[in-house]
Amino acid sequence: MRWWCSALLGQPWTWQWQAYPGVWLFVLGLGTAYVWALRSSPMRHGRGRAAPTRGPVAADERPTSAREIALFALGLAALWAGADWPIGVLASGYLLSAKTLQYLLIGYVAPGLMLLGTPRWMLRRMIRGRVAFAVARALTRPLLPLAVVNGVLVATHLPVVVDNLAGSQWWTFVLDLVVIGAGLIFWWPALGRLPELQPMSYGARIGYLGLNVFLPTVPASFFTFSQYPIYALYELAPRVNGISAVADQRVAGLIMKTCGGALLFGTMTVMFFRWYRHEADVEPDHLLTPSPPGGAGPGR
Amino acid sequence: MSRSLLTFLVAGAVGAGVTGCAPGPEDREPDDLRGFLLGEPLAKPEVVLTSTDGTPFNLREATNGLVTLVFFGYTNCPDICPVHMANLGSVVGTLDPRVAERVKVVFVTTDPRRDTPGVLRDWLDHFSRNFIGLTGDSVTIARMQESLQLAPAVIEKAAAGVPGYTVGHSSLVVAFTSDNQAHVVYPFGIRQEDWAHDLPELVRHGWGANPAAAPR
Repeated sequence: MRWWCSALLGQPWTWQWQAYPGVWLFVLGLGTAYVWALRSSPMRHGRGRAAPTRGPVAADERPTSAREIALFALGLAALWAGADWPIGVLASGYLLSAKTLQYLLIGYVAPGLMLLGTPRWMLRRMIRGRVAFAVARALTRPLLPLAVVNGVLVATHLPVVVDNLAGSQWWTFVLDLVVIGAGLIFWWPALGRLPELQPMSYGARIGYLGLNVFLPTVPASFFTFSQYPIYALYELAPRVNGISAVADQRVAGLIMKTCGGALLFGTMTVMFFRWYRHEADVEPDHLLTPSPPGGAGPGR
Repeated sequence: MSRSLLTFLVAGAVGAGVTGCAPGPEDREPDDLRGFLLGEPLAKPEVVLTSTDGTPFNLREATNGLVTLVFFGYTNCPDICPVHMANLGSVVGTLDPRVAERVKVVFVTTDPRRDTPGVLRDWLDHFSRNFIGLTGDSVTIARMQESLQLAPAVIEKAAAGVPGYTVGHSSLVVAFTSDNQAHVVYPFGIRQEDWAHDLPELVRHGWGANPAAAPR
């Protein structure tokens, strides 16, 4: 019985379903922790109505919405899809393109959705301690997350790491955890969920996401333009549907660039419109009021 | 710096001065190849098999003076054969045409019962239309493997639930140079960049035979 998807070195690929209970337990564990936190809190799901509270509550605090629960569930689904059969197995030992897709799912999509699906009161509870608060505050500034996220991206794609650790279930599990953790760190400053951490302005967040679009271009270019396969693991793996190692590598580069880029550009676009709406909402009333006929308008 | 290291460096510098500069490509020792060098070279077998168009194929005559990579495998092979062939197909396609035309890849089936000439051709075409596929009777193929000191292929029962059978065979690619001798073999695990490094070397080196024919 294998618990976590790792490379099945030398074994031909088969589309026959395989069970990976470790993946189920991990996803189930996260889901259970979320539900337990919801149930044990006075800020439980209130269907748009504030539930009775026990302690002091921040002004922007509200009960968990159905939207947040749905987003968290979608995040878990993305995590499960990326870690379990078939993507998890293909990624761990057969196709670099599957590994790239997996990276996007567990390193970007799932953490982003899970963070959006975690209500503010729950986040505040997580960073109640002084150290946790200091860490959360430090990660709200862009430089540290930028370094961590791109450091993890590079480290987890080094041939020495990919080729030597892929056969071990434990190492694959650890690397997947690192990727998920890096994903949470990546989204933390971009989503700026907690005002008390003084998140960046919308403009700075868009700039931060933009930087993260361009930095992964470096590994993506290596994948796309390298004449020979970079990883022995994928080059010497039994072929899947006759896809050559170089073609697979090029597809991986394209996925990293196009899908990763689309995800981030999409988020930047949403953020831009939120920024616009936010600016419109805080626009002083006198600027929105039409000037009286013949009278001097504001600021003249 | 220790005295022994200093002595080593001085001796190295003096040695380099005596022998001249860095060796040119034609003087290069073959031990910088990525394959395994054989202590005793192996002669290219004098054997006639059947090519994929159904005609007799005399290996020695048809590949005389060319770098010839001989591999024994079968088209139903789930792992080693398609990887070796795919890697060779990719690399030969990227070589300088003057080098590529002097390299022949010969795939000899170890499963002549299922690998008819047509089946062999269809399968090899996935990797390269220039690859040579050979079949023949089992005894001749077994003798050929024996002459190359390869373990003979054996038919093995397939895993439970899998129809048919598998064929256990050597994973070595035997590389003959222009002298019609194999001086180097390549195990499974050899990578495309290794082939890209070694094939031009094998074409150039020639182990003393027919050097004029090799492109520079």
